[in-house]
Amino acid sequence: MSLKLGRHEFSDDRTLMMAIVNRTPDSFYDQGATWAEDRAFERVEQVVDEGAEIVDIGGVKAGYGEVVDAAEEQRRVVGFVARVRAAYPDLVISVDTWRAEVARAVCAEGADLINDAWGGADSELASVAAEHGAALVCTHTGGLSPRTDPHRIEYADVVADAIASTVAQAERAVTAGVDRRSVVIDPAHDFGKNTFHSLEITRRLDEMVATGWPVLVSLSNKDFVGETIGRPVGDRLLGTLAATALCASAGARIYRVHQVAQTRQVVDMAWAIAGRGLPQRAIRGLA
Amino acid sequence: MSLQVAVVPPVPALLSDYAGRTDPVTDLRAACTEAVDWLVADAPARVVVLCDPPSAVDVSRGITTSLGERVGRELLRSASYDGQVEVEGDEPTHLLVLANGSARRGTNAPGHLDERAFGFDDEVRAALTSADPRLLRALDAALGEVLLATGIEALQRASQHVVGACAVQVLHDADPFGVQYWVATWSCR
Repeated sequence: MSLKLGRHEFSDDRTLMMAIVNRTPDSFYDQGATWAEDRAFERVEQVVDEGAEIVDIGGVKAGYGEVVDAAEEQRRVVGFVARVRAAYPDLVISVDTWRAEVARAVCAEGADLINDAWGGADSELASVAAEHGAALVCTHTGGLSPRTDPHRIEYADVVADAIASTVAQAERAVTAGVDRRSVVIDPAHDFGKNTFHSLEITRRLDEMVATGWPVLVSLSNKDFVGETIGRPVGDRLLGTLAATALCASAGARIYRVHQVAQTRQVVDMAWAIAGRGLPQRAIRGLA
Repeated sequence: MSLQVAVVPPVPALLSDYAGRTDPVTDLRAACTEAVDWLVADAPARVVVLCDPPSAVDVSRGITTSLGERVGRELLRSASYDGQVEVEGDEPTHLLVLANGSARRGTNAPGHLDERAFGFDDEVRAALTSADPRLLRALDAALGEVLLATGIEALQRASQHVVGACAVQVLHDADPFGVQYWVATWSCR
């Protein structure tokens, strides 16, 4: 089954780079580097040049921070989505939001995909995606409220919990009218999880892939990487890419990333090793 | 009895099993396609394939079908040929010969550089582009083996079936990876 992200379709053998574009002053990795709209637009230009198929535009920092209400979130992202849509008609535009009213506004401006990073916190979100023919990412947060961190959270089986939660959200989205080809599941590393949980999710990602729903992974420079290799934000690329290789080997389809070019190389390599992708050009020993 | 012959190199990169996202042998593939399409254009009941057999080393690794046969059969399938394909058959009317020159034509060639490669390949070129049985039989197959040429004896076996004059067309003559390739057709009375 092909993957349909709004007006764009991708065959089953494609992996997709989803580049993070923050319209925030305080996100953990870039610390407001693309807070100004023109800087954010330059970031879009850069990641398109690097081959990203998707941009994921976010107006609210994932973790604790200043209050950003729906009106402010819309002010940050709606006009920007329109600008990117006008400049890049072939680019998949995703918006990272849990709010239905924000999703409605960005879909009206041409967003293709709603990245519901907080796992169905707003029950209307799927209906909005359905109304606009948009795709939806269903994530596992372990029941956490938006913008909260895990504290002493436990699972008997974190992978089983992630599968049960995301698959249930996916089925509800289809019932709400979202095209079955337009639903993606995301185990959401670090969200509602300690480092051991995220490592186990990574190790057993093939179980999520086996559900048949396309899997998105968001690993980029996250705390579980930093804690595992003992590196601060800004020095986690190698750890991120190691986790990326394992997720690609397991069959993840979409990679939400800060570093597009490096991730693309790792995914292509792992995808080919797994027998799902072809070498770019092979002549060694074959001439 | 007329004889139609197509000569193509048994290049593994032509096989779909070894396809990448971009094709490193586009020009060669186009020429092979043209030659094999020509060979089967009159829908013969049978095409005879001549090629080197698997080497002793290949056999020791469990390989029973030669590279030449694999490439030949795949090219014929790609040409939508659905007649009989026979390896080393008698009284052929349509021959597909898998052969190439030296693979020692440069320091980056698979067999590195051997200066003898150029003279050897010139002799093969002269024989192949004239379809002259005398020149074909005179090729030094033992030297060819040293120079990593392939299918020289197959060309010589093909020459046994050439009795009249042949119209020769050379569709490809290049050594892009330090390996000498030719694609040619012979239409013999």
